[in-house]
Amino acid sequence: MHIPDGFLTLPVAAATGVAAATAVGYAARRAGREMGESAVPVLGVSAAFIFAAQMLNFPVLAGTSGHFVGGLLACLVVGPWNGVVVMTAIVLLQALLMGDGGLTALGANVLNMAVVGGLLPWLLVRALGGSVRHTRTSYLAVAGVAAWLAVVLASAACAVELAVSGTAPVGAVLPAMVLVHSVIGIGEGLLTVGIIGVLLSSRPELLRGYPPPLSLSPSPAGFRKRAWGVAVTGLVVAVLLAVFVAPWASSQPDGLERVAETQAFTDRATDQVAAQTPLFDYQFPLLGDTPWSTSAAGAMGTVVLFGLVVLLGRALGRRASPDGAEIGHDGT
Amino acid sequence: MTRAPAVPAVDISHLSFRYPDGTPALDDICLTIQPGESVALLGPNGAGKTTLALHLNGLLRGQGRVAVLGLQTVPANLGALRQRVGLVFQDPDDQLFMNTLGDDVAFGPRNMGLEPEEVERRVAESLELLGLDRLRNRPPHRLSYGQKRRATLAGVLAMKPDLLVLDEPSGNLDPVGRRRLAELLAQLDCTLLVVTHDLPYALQTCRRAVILNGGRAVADGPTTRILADRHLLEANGLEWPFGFTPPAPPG
Amino acid sequence: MDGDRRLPADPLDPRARLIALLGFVVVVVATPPRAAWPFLAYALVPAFFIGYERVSPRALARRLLFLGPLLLTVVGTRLLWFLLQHDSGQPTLQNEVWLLAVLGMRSGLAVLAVAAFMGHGDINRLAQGLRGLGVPAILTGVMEQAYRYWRLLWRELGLLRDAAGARGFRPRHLGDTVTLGRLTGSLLLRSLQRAERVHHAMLGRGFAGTFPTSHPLRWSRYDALFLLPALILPAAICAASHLVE
Repeated sequence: MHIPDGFLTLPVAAATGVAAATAVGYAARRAGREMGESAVPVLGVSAAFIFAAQMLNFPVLAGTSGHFVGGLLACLVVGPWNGVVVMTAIVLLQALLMGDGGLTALGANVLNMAVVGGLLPWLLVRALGGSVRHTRTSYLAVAGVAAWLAVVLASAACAVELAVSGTAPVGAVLPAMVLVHSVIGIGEGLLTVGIIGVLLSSRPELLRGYPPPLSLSPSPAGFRKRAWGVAVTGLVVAVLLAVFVAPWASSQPDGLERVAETQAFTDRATDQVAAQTPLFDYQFPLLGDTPWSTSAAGAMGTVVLFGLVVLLGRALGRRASPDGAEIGHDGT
Repeated sequence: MTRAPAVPAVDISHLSFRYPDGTPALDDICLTIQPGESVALLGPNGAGKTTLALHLNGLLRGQGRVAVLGLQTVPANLGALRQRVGLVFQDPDDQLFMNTLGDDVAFGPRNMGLEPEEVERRVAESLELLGLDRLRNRPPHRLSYGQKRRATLAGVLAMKPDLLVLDEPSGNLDPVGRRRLAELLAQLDCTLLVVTHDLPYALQTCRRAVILNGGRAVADGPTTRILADRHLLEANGLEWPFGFTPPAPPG
Repeated sequence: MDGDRRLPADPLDPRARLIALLGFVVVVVATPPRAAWPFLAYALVPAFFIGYERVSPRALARRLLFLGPLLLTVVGTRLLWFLLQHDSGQPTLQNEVWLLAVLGMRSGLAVLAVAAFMGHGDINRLAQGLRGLGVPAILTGVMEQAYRYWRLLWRELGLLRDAAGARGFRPRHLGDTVTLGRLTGSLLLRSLQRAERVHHAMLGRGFAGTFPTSHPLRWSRYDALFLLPALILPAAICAASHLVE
């Protein structure tokens, strides 16, 4: 569900970015207020747990498998705003160190996984918590359904963002995403039930987002007011961006859909490639004299040039990395 | 190291503690340790040893009076206290929370607000003392278990504590690691409290021993005498590992 | 190792890396998809840094694989849509292919750029850079801790699964997912207890809410040397793609 770069147009990226930044900014301030210096270790280890659990594949139906997302779980375990911080930290790490999920899509990914797939279903649990009887079974059932809903909602949000960007037709991508994720979501729900069940029976006090009539710990009135102001402003800006900038942008040539309608790509693209770079001025023998052939030739040329530049970089670069310096680079 | 000889390093009187869920953990403990002493805190699992250790820098606070290095463990003193009490935990992964060894060792000195040059000097010094200077840029997950154990000690020694508290320092160490650690502890000139159920190790590293059982201090005396008392050990769930012979009772 | 230990292993200001990365990706995404050559030209910028930093091809390939699922989703849904609206004729198919090529090129370039510009992924420097760019300290702190502990927890999860597997547990169907959840739940329990101990360990060494920084952020000539080509080249390519109609 991590959207890479290039799948969203810049206005969509900007609008989701503003909305996500607002939510995360507010959440970060609240988390700091509520937890003080214990915030970093408690939220950090919780984030590490969700990060690790996200690599867990579980069987769903007929040989298919899904992987865990954990937005709602985070909110149930550490509390709603802390949960948003936890999920944002994970999405940031994945984008910046693992290359999973795009940078311009950061806002959208945070919005989908932390807000739509975390905070929103948590609110549902909270609302339902008031009306169902407070038994372990009813709580687990509500949590399971909300976890399923979290995944479905997040996938729907993802589909809508792709559709608004013109990357995929809404009529196809929305049903497809929702359908697939309503199956994957079953696994998410069951996994959440299992995880929460263990905590409920052994250390219920560790569930900060628990007791169903979940009381948000009191925060100073002024702070809350100011935070609401920030939240509302952010939301308004995001909506304005979406309403006014998006149509303008989709009339620009970089709206993908528009290009598809108006331009036949091959002659233009390949003509230019051929005209600009003598290197590409030949045709790929297997494909004969077609536009495809020129494209293939261009691609081949790029690969060769890419390799040459990598080698140039290596020649100029450091000899060898010092012992242990490579911390990142996905050493799974 | 400046130390007023009159002030005990640890002065605990009538300390009791219950966990939030009601489980009693410490029951009317009285313990005084003079500066420069090395004391083994012995007892079976669940005796309250770790709980007592956590009281020494105010991470837990029970009923009764706890004064460490002349400072009461009240909130106003905690900052100063934690700079002077070095606590090394059982699981090194709990204590190595930074992403490189060098940063982890520097964590304490930086929190003390030392100048960057001084931080650097201390980090280099304690890494060298523990033979870790070549691993400075390693992330903790690429250290061996023994290296992690030494790294946690380096992180605490870089703060130059006056009281060093080690929780099960010999646990999971190979024989060479055990011996090296004991040699190192013998070199240090700070007050030492070793929490353990490893009797040979207690004998090797500490002059004095205190037995804790069921949250109560049940025996206190020279290690050689305590560890020679088979009945006392048996009554408190402690025993010499197979093949070891307890020391002959003194005198 | 370098002579002066106080110098960070990476001479670049982490902010420079982040700015270069973001700038590059924004330019790539903003380039109109009229022709392939600007995208191919962009690739040469990360190519140089991939070589310079000696990023392993395996790591690159693994990162590119992340693009798979969503790219397939888009291909699938577009294909479905295309088949449903089959009256449009031949040029549309070509357009479809071109669009997917653009998506692939843009997202692939971004993945290359992350690998190329983030250096060797020093999480502390990255967190410091993010803080320098205004990201709340609590968030970067959580990132650092998450990065420190995820491997450990993943290993513990593996041990738990092995232990369950040794007693005959193989997750096959939905019911097993709850069991898997219970296993995972016991790991969460242990993780939260670990969090308490980590918190204690931090407090014990004087932690007061924020991580002390290693090296103060300071712009240097290395940053200029890095930022100029990393920002100007893509900008020039983008401008050229607008001029060449």
